[in-house]
Amino acid sequence: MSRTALESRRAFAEGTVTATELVETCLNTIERHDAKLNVFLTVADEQARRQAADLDRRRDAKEPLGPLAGVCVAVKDLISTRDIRTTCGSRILEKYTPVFDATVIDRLKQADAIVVGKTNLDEFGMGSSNENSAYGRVANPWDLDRVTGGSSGGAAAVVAADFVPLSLGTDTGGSIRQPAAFCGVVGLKPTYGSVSRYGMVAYASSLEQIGPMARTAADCRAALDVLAGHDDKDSTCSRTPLKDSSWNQSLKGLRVGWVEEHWTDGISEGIAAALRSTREWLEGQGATFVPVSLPHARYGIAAYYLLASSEASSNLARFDGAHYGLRANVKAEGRSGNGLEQMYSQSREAGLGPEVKRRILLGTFALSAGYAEAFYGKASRVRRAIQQDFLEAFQDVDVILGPTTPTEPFRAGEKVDDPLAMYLADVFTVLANLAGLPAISFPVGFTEHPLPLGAQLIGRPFEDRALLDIVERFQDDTDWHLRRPSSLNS
Amino acid sequence: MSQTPIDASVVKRVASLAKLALTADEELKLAGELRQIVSYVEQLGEVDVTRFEPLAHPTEVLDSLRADQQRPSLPVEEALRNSPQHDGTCFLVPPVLG
Amino acid sequence: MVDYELIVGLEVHVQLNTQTKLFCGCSTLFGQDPNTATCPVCLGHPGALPVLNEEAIRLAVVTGLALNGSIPPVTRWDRKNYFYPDLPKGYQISQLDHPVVGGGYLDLPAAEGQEPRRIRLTRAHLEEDAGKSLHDETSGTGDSRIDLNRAGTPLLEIVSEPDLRSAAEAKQYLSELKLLLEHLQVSDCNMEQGSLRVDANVNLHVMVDGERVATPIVEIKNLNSFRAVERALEYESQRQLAAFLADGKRIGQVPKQTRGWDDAAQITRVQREKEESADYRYFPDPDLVPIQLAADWVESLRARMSHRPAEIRQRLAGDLGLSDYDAGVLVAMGPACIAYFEQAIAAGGDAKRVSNWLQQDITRSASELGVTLDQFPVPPAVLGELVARIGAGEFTTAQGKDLFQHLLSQGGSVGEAAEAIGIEAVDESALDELCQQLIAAHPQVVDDIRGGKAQAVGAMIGAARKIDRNADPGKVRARLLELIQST
Ligand SMILES: [Mg+2]
Ligand SMILES: [Zn+2]
Repeated sequence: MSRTALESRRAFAEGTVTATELVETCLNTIERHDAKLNVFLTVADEQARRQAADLDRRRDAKEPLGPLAGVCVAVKDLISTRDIRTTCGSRILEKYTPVFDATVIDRLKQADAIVVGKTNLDEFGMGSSNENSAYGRVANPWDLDRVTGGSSGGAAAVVAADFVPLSLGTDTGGSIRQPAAFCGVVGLKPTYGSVSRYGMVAYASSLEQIGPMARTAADCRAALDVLAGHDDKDSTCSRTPLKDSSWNQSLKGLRVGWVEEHWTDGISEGIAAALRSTREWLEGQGATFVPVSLPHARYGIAAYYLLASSEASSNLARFDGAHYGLRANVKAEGRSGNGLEQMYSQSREAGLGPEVKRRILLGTFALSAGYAEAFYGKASRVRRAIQQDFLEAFQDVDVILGPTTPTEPFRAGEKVDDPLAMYLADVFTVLANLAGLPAISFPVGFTEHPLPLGAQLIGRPFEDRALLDIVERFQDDTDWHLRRPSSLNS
Repeated sequence: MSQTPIDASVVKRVASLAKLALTADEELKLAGELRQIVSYVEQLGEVDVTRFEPLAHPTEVLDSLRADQQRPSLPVEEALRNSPQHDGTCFLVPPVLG
Repeated sequence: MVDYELIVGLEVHVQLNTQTKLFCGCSTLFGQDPNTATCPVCLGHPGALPVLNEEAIRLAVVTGLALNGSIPPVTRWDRKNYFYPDLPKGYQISQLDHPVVGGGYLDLPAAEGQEPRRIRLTRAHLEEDAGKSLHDETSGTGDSRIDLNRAGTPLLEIVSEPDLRSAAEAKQYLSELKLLLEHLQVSDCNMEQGSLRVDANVNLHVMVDGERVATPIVEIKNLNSFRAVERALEYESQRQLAAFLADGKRIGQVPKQTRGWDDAAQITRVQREKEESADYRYFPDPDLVPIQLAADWVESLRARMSHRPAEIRQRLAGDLGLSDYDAGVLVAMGPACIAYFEQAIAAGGDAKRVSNWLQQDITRSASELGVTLDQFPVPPAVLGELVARIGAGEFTTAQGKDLFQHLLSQGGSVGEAAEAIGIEAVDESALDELCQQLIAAHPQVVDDIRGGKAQAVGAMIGAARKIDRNADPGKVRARLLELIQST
């Protein structure tokens, strides 16, 4: 197995390997295997090689090196990268090359990480299977016929398949955690406001965060340390720093919430069993389990889809063919009368995929005159109720453990014709987005197939490090995260 | 909450607000899907929400302000770089009337 | 003859005097090359985010206080969604439910023979401006050219109640509002540059069989000068009356119509029907957070209320003894004039004389030179000294004008100017000695003068001529009054 991010950093700093070798290995792997997975939408080989050469020169000159020096990172193609095409998985941005870097890209560069390319995703982050990309679905490295989950499917698969040790995803309703569970990696959705959203192409601004994906919690922590912190370019980015955790030595005394409502929602037997053994392990470490209730959790999906779609209908209005992106060829006869209207609707018709249109329609409906109070308004109030449920639960417990997804990764094509069934795949993950809480998914077992199984820990606001510590202890003691898929061996 | 009727005319109006050109088939299909989704989300009607204030942001950040200080703008070539049509100084779009 | 009343409410969009845009650091300077004052934020690039300019909030609150409005503890941002090529995000960041200013009013100074009028305000809210669409018929392509330099410029939209009753009154309201904004320096109100734009909501109350009947409300857009407002309202009141007499349609019986003022044709025209424009789908902007307006901070801004036209008029007429008319004229000349005036009298100039100079020689010279008063070549302190010395009799009025012309073209101090054109200041010591002698000899007259009877000084002037036959009565009079009133 290839190096983790921290191992790459160490090997590079110690001179065991050059940054150029790290980059070439990575590019070589992409070259050889990506046809099977369809992860990369754009490979930034030139920039990566240039940066690696510069890093090698700086190490030879004994200049100081950043905390992720030499680490190859893949970035979900929903994050703006200067001079590197950023498609958002959409036809409408097929030729869009940003003029600015997202703040997280600035910070990765500051930390001397090397961005090797942009990964596939559900168009604009809208999907739970990565089947909604205009550039084709991503295959799950554990079973190429199955989905990776979404929308950060590419960012999960690229780590699971060992192309890179670290990737950046974005999570609006589970888009980091659900594919992390489906691909057998660790994915963290940070506390809302702890990582700058500047340069993340907005789907639902009030719900989403950028977060790290890696094989180990330790790598996620190293990335989070680089990514988190106030940014004066993002008004919603908090000045509250992430709290230090008290679980870095022992888990004795940890109070873990066990949500009663979660166990009535048709969880697969494999996931239920893996969660029971995770619970036993935690109890073995001295943690105690406390039943907690989230009475409004069952309304999470409804509230989430209304709010996310409402925000999306406005956030995606800018993709209209006027100032950037695809513009449909307006027919000559249209140029006189309502050529402008035709430019708008035909560019959007040609440039946006069916799921994006579906959510734009739902959101436009939920905000429109006569319906706004009953739909958008009511969902905003239910959101408050869900947040209060969590705040009450966290009076009695430090973290909440539950499944990340109700099922193992499903087969490609299985749910594409049933949008509502697809939405229900996010039933456990949307809650943390609605409440703004940190949540992590980590591998806790496998089916016989083998397909990975994930568990989710949700924490108090700004207690992201507690989640990472608990998973790190778990990974010290277990080896689920060390198993690798065999699909790419041939 | 009463059942909200979603027919092709609602879809047509909403699509026109959102500037989406839909074929008649798409309209019909989306009306069905929207009907299904809307009837699902109408379960929110069960919740007594009168005691909950709307929540627009999960963390209540306040007063994110910047000083009134000029920052560099983009060179015009960069501003127009991704534009589907421009004349070197302005974005070009089909005629804006009225 | 039909008895009817014109009912008008105005929405005034005022560009605030900030260096940078409402949500990004691009310059708001007028007249830059197209699309050179733009960045990812104001171009609406994917992923770019807005951050609020604190100066815009401050100017909005100052205006709200000056308009007697209430400032809420928290103000918030909403999105107004619609598609237009000068609106790159597909929505405008504006304020719907929690505007920065609630209510308020503006008093219109009473014209002769009229009652003063109080115009109530509904609210004032902040929003970002759109860019500019230029339609170029000659380009041959038929395309519109879009310049986004103006996109994101801070606007304060001040909405009045339908309290205005005539075109003339609407114009008076706008003049008074403009003056207020100029004196507070919250906006330059340059209408040619679009810093102040007006929409009007207009209808009629017509008496029909002793009952007041309201006609449908029409919104008129595109009013880019006070004259346009006046003409459009006059036109619209005739048009609406004719329409009502023809079809009898009342308010609520037809949808609200939007018309545009065609300045060339001097008529209003129905604007193209935008079928879905009515549904803006406002909702809280999830990229922005609420802004707290702390009570003590708001209070600290009240100090600027002394710059309101009403307060300045009172100060000039009450404390400084100008006539109401002169005070009004100076205030109408704008904040640079008031600043000039106040500095000139601080340098010793008499208020009435400085006011005359400002209204005559200075205004004329400034307009000949094409400069504003803050760039006027004779600094206010120099003018103040000149006026004081003319008043003290050191220079005759004619000499004063010569000196002013010299200062205007050559600069320098009053002394330098006098030397350069060879005017000898009169030796004041003999005059002073004479006046002191007179004051000592006439204590009763001095008391009378101090008691407010300046005309009593005549008695001493007669006495002066008995001591020195050559004494200039005007100079003696001025010096006597100066000495008596300064002790
Ligand atoms: Mg407005
Ligand atoms: Zn800008």
